[in-house]
Amino acid sequence: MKVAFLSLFFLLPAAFCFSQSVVRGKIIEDSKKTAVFAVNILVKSPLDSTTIAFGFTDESGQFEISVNTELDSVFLTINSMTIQKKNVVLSTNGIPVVIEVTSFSLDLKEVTVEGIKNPITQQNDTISYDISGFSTVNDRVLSDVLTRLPGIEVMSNGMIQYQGRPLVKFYIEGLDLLQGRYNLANNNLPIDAIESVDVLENHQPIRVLDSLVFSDRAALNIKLKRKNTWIGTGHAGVGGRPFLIDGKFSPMVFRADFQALFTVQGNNVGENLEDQQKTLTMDALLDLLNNRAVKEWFTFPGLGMSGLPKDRARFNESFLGSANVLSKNRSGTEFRLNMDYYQENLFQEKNSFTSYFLPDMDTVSFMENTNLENIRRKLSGSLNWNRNTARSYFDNTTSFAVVKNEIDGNVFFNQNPINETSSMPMLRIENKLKLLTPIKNRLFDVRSTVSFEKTRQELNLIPSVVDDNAGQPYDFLVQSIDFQRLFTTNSIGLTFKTRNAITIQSSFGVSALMDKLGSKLSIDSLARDQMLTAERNSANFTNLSTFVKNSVEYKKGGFQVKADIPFYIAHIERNNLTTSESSNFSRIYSEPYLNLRYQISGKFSTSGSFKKTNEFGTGEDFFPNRIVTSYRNIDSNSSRIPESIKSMFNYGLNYKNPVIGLFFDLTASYSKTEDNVIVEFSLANFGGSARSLVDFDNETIRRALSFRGSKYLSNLYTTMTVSSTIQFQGFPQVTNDVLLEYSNRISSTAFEIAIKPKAYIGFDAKTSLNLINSESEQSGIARIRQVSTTLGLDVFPIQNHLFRADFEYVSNEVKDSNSPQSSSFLDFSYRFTPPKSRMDFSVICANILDADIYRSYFSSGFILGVQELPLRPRQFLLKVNFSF
Amino acid sequence: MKTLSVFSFLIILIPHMNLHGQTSNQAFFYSATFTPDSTNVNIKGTDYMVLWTGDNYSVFESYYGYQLDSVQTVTTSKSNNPKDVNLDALIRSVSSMKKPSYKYRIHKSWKDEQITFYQNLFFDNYVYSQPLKMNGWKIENEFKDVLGFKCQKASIAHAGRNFIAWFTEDIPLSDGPYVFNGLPGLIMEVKDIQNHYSFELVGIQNSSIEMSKLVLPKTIALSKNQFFSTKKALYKDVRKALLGKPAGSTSDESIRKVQERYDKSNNPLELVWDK
Repeated sequence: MKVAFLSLFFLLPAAFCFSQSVVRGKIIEDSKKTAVFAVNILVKSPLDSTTIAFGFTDESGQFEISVNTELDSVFLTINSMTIQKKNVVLSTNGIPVVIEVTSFSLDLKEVTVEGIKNPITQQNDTISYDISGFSTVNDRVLSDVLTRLPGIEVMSNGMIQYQGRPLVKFYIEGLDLLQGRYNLANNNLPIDAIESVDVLENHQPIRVLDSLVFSDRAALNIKLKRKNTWIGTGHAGVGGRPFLIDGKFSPMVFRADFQALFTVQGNNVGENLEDQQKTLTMDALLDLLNNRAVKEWFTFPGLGMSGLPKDRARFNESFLGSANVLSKNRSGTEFRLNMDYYQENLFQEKNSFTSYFLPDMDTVSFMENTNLENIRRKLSGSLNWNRNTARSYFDNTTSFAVVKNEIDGNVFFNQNPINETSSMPMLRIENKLKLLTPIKNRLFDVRSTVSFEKTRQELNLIPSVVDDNAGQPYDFLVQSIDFQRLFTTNSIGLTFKTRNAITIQSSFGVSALMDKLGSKLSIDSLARDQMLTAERNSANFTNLSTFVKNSVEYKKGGFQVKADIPFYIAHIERNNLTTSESSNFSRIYSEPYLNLRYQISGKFSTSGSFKKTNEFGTGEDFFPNRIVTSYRNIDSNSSRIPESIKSMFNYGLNYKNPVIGLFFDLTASYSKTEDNVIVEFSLANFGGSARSLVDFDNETIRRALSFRGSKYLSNLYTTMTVSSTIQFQGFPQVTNDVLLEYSNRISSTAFEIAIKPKAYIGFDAKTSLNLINSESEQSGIARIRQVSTTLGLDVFPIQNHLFRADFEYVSNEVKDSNSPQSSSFLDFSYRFTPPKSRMDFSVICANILDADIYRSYFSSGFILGVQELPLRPRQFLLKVNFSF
Repeated sequence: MKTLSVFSFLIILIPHMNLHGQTSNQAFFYSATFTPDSTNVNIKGTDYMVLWTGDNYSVFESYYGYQLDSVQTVTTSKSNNPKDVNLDALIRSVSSMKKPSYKYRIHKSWKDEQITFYQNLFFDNYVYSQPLKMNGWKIENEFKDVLGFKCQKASIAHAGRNFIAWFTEDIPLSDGPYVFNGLPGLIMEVKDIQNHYSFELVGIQNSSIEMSKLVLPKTIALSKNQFFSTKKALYKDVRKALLGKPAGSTSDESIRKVQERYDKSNNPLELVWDK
C-alpha cells in the first residue's frame, strides 16, 4: 500500500510532463473468470464526462488505450451487448488492472419501420405472412388478401389451397372454431384485425400422431391484432329495378378460451349465400364423401347452364344466419357449437326444346316452359367435444340437419299446362367418434360413425301426362316416397413406423348400411270415371361388410410410394316386402390403390397411380313398381343388385423453370367401368319416358388428356397461359329396345393473358373454345361449338378510387344450323374508400347492356336441346361496407 | 494457357471465416441514399439496408434483396416437387416487390478482424476481403438525437471521401452500416461531407436469422484491387460482361442503353481503393 502510494506520488509530476498516457487492463466475466472479447471501453474525463479516448478488448480480454491527457485518473465506461455496463475510475499510470464484469443480455427496444418488416418469415414448419406487407387500401376482409400470398391459391368456391392442395385445418388463433366452414371467416374477418396468416406445414392436427405419422399437409392459422374485443364487418346496399336490398352484419370475438362468430345476411341481388356454409378443409371433404346422403327423387330444371354464371339468372330472396361458439376449459377440452339457418326462395323460369334421337332414326321432340318457385329452408347444427393432447385424442361430434325443400309451379309441356308441386323434406342425425391412444410406440385407434336419415317426399301433378298405354292424361297424380337409411361404420386400428422409414396403418372394422323404401303412386282420372289406382313399392336393403385395411407408405429421396390394400367381405340382401321375395349374395373383394411419384430433376417430376373400386347398389336402386320422378318420366328398377367395378389409371408430368418463367403440366387418365346392369329408355312419341335398369354386362370407357402451360414475361408484367383438355366417353344404352354404343367427345382450349403493371391499370383477358361432339354408332347427333371471352379492366388513377369494368361474350352454336346463340354482358363498379376510414362506398352496375335472356345448346348421348333462362335485368346497387 | 492458369488461380474457395452457427440477435435498418452521377447530383438512388448483428459478427445488405431471396426460398425450395410451386403467385409477389439497388453483402468478423465483401456485377458474383479495422476516427464533442438515442459525432477520411458519423454509446456495438465500424457504439448515421452517400438508421428489430446463409453463390475470389479494377473495366464497356453469353441474345440497341446507364454511374463510394 505504501509502495503504491509512493509510486503514485513520484509518477504524478511525470503525468503532467508527458501528456500521452496509457490505460491498460483486462476484462473478465465475474462468475467464470473468463476473458470477454470485444468490449467497448470509453475513456472519459472525470471533470466533464466527455469521451477523450476509446478502445476494445482483444480475444484475451486485454485492452490498452493511449490517452492524450494530463489527468492522473480517468473514468472508464465498460460496455458491450453481452455484459452489464460498468463505470470505474482508473489511474492513467499504465499499470494493468483486472476488471470484473457481469454477464447480461441487452434488450433493445424495437423501432418498427412501416413497409420494411419482412412480410414472410419462416420458423421451422411455420411460414408467417405479415398481412400488412400484402394488403392494399382496397382490401376489406381476409379473402381479399389471401389470393395475394405466395404459395396460397383461392378457388372460385372459396377453397384455399396451399401448394396446390386443400388445407387440412383452418384455425383462428390456434382454435378450430368453424370446422371447415371457413368461408364464414374469410368473407367476414376485417383485414385490420389480422396480424398475420401462418401456414403450418407438415401439420398433424392430432397431437398423439405427431411423431408417429408424418403429415405432408398444411393448415392455416389466422393471428389477430385485435383480440378480446368485438370486431366484425358488414355491408348495406340498396338498388333498383326491381327494388334490391343486400345486407350483412357479422360480429365476432376471439379470446384465448372463448371464440364466437355470428353472421346475419340477406339479399335479393342474386348472391348465393349457401356457399358461405360450404365445408372446405380436406378432412371435412373426406367426411362428406363418406356420409352416404340420401337422394332427392324428383327432378326439376335448374339454373345450371354451360357458360353462364349462375348469379346472373338467380332471382332470389336469401337469408343466412350462423352462430359459432367455442369454449375451452382449463384442462384443454374444447366444446364447440355451430348452428346455421339458411333460407332461400328462388324463382325459376326456363324454356327448352329437346330432341331425343332414337335408334330407328326417329326423333322425338318436345317443348317445355317451366315457371317454378323453390323454397328451401335448412336448419343444421353440431355439437363437438374435443380433447387433443400429446397423450391421447378424443373427438365426438353430434350433428343434425332439417331440410325443407318445396317446389311449386307450372310447366307447359308442348303447350299443355301441368301444375307441379313437390315437397322433399329431409332429416339427418349423426354421431361421429374418434379415439386415439398410444400403446408402446404404436397407436391404437377407435372410430365410429352412426347416421340416420329420413325423408318423405311427394310430387303432385295436375293434370299429368303419364302414359298408361292409352296416351290419355290423368286428372291428378300423387307420387309419395318414404325412405330411411341407417349407416354405421366402426373400426379399430393400429399405426406404426418401421426402422426403414415405412409407415404401416392397419385397421379392422365392420360397417352396415340399412335402407328402407316405401313408395306409393296414386293416379286418378275423372275423365274415365275410374277409381283411384295405386302402385306401391316396399323394400328393404342391407349391406353388411367386414373389412381389413392395410396401408403402406415409403419415401426415399425423390421417390415416393403409397399403397393401400383393403379387403372386404360384403353380404348384401334385399327383400321385396310386398311379394316377400328376397335375393342376396356375398362377395369378397379388394380395392387396391397404388401411387408412385418421382422427381426426375429440379425441373421435371412425374407421377402415376392406379385405383380400383367396387360399388354396389343401395336401397335406392330397387323398386319393381313404377315411381314417377318428373311429369315426363317414370322409373322402375327390378334388376339384380347393381355392381360397378371401376379401374382408373392416371399419369402426370410436370415441368417448371422459374428462371425463364415457364411451366407446364401434362396429365392423362383412363378409366374403365364394368357394370352388371344397364339403363333402358323407352320413349313415347309425345316426349314421356320410362327408365329402368335391366341385367346386362357392359362397360363404359373414359379417356382424358390435358395440358396447361404458362409463361411470364417480366418486363411486360404479363402472364400468358394456354390450356387444353380432350375428354372422351363411350357407353352403351338401350333405347326403345335397341342397344347402341354412344360416345361424347369434349375438347376445350383456352388462352389467358394478364397484364398487371404496378400502377394505374390492370387488365386480364380469357378466351376459350369448347367443342362437344355426341354420336351413336349409327349416326352423329350433335356438334356444339361454344366460344366464351371475358375481359376485365381495373383502373385506379388516384388513390382510394377504384374502377372496374368486366365484359363477357358467350356464343354457342350447333354445326349445320344457322342459329348461333350469343350473349354479351357488361358490368361496371366504382369504389371510393375515404382515407383512414373503416367504411367504403361503392356503386355497382350489373348487366349494363340489359341482356334479357341466355340461350345455349346442350347435348349428351342421344339428346340434343336448346334451353333459355331469363336474366336479371340491368341493375344498380349502392353499397356501404363497414368494419369495426 | 496463361488465361487458364489465371482463372484457375482466381476461382478459389471463399476465404475461411467463422461462418458456422452465426445467428443474428438484432437487425438495424438503414435508409440509404446515393448519388450515382457526380455530374448530376440531383439524381439520387435509394435502398433500404439491414445490418444483422450477432456475437462479434455482422452482415450488411439490401433489405429488399433479402426479402426477394426469402420469398423465392419460401415459394420454391420448400418442396422439390415443381407441381407444388405456385409459379403465378411467386411471380406476382416478386414482381410487386421492390428491387435492391445495392447488390452487395458485407460480412464483418471481429474474430478474424476481416471484412468479406460479396458483390454481384452483371452475371457473376465476386468476393474480396479487407482488414476490419478503421483507423483514424476522430471523436468530437457534438451531440444529437437519432431515434431517441443520444449520439456523438465522429469523423474519418475513408476511400477518398470525408465522412461524418453519429454513434451512440447506448448500443455498445462497434459496428455500423457499410464497412464502417470501430467506434465505441453503433453508428446510427453516416454521410460524406458532399452528401453523395448517406446511411441513416430508421428501425431496430430483435430478429434471429442464420447469417452464414447470407452469402452469394459461385463467387470468384479477387483481391480488393483486382475487384475494383474489374468493376471499372466492366462499367466502362458492358459488352465485356456479356462475353461468353450466347451471341445475339442481346441487341446492340439494348447494350447501348445499358452502357449509357453505366456511363452515368461514375461516382462510386470508393473514390480511392488501392490504399
